[in-house]
Amino acid sequence: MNTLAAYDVTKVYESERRVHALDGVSMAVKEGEFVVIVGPSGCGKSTLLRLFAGLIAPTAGTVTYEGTRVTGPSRLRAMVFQQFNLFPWRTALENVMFGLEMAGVDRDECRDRAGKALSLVGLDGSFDRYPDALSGGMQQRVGLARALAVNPSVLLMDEPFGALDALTRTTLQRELLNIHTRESTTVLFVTHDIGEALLLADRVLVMLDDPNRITARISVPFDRPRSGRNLETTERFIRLKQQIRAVFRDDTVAAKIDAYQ
Amino acid sequence: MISSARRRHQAAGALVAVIVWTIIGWRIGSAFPGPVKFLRATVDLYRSGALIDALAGTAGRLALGYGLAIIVAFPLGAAMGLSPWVDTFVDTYVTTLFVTSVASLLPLLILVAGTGVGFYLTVVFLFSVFHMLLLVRAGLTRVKPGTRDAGRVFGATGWRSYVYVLLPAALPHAVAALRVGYNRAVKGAVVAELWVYAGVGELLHGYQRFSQISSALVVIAHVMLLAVLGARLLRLVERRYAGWREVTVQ
Repeated sequence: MNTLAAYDVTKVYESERRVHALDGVSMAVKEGEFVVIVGPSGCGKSTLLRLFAGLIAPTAGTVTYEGTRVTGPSRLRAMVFQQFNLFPWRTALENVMFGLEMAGVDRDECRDRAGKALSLVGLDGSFDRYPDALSGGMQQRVGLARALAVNPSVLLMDEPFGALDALTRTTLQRELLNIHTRESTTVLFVTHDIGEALLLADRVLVMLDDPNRITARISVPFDRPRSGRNLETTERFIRLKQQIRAVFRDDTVAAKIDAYQ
Repeated sequence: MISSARRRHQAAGALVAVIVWTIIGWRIGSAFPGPVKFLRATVDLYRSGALIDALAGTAGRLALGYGLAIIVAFPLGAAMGLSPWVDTFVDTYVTTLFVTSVASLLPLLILVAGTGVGFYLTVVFLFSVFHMLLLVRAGLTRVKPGTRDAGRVFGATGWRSYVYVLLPAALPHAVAALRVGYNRAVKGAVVAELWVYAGVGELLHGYQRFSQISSALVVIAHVMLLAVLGARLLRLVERRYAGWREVTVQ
């Protein structure tokens, strides 16, 4: 059974004008799989992630988690946000404790588990610091720890490294790869960076806009554990990157990539 | 280190102010008393008990009007912040009264409420309620959608969303509302008492009539003290419970 699945999902935002954010999208993510959706701004990739998070409902079609229709948010599908969305009135540790507190976990256990999650993302010395006193990279580590602390079945990551500088992004990508290897968590990750998608994913879904749909589904042929430095300079990586870029220019290329797979 | 340097600067500032005040008092003469005359008048007013009685009356009426404004502003401001329907329904009236000078309403208020306690309460209430109401509303409407989303994803749905996300997020604005509302309430109390010759207003009118400038200055200084001490106290509360975000009000 698929962990996450979307069946012919359409999402229309009704405001001053109708916006078709998704147009008949179907996709699935298997248990333990790392799937990355890559696409330009406005193609609906974040909308798809918010549907899986249960933050919004589809206009038509069905979104499921473990075969059950998603009707609202759940800690089992924890989310990491592009703008971090930490609670500024809570310290790093208290932010990570939040989900556990909401789950009714004993306070001592909350502190213990939150501390371990922060250690896992390399923030041992910053438990009592408020988000304002943390750099962007550190804030996103707290965001990642907050999601990992609730022991989720799925990690939904909405361009989590998009607001970070290149160096911090590379470090966090490496740490995410390590965490995924260690924890085997199912991950659905959204980005507009093709290189990031190929570095992290087992499978890349390419989305295009107007109409917003999934155009290509690519199995990434690189073994794990991966290292960005070695992988990104290989001929295979560069060729695949060029082919995905070509899909953005001309979506008929998608068929050729499918054939290559 | 920074704190002690700041204190030294404040002390130096106070010393300069006293020196300038002494020179002005010496140059102008009886029309503007210097620090020595001011201190003598202060001792006299404390001994007579007139100042304490007047301040106690003013503080009591201030507390009642301010308390009433809090009771109205917080629930209504919260309702406006949380419900677009309530906001649309009430906003025009609130905004109109917010920009209207309350002082211009005083002749009408005297006709309607008379010159008794009802008048003081109404004036203090009107001076403070709209600022508090709009600040409480701003506190809730400015909670980022992403913050609410994060709360929902990690289990704060339904009433938990209000208790664990919206209220803490709006707390800095709520405490700022108390502080600004208090400043406005003090102003309202003094204006009301000047109109109907009561409390500190009665003292000020009396000293003006008999040109007792030193005594009038002492009363004014104590009104300032009442405002500053209250604001300082609320600033401490603000730093203790909402120090993660400073709300500045123009």
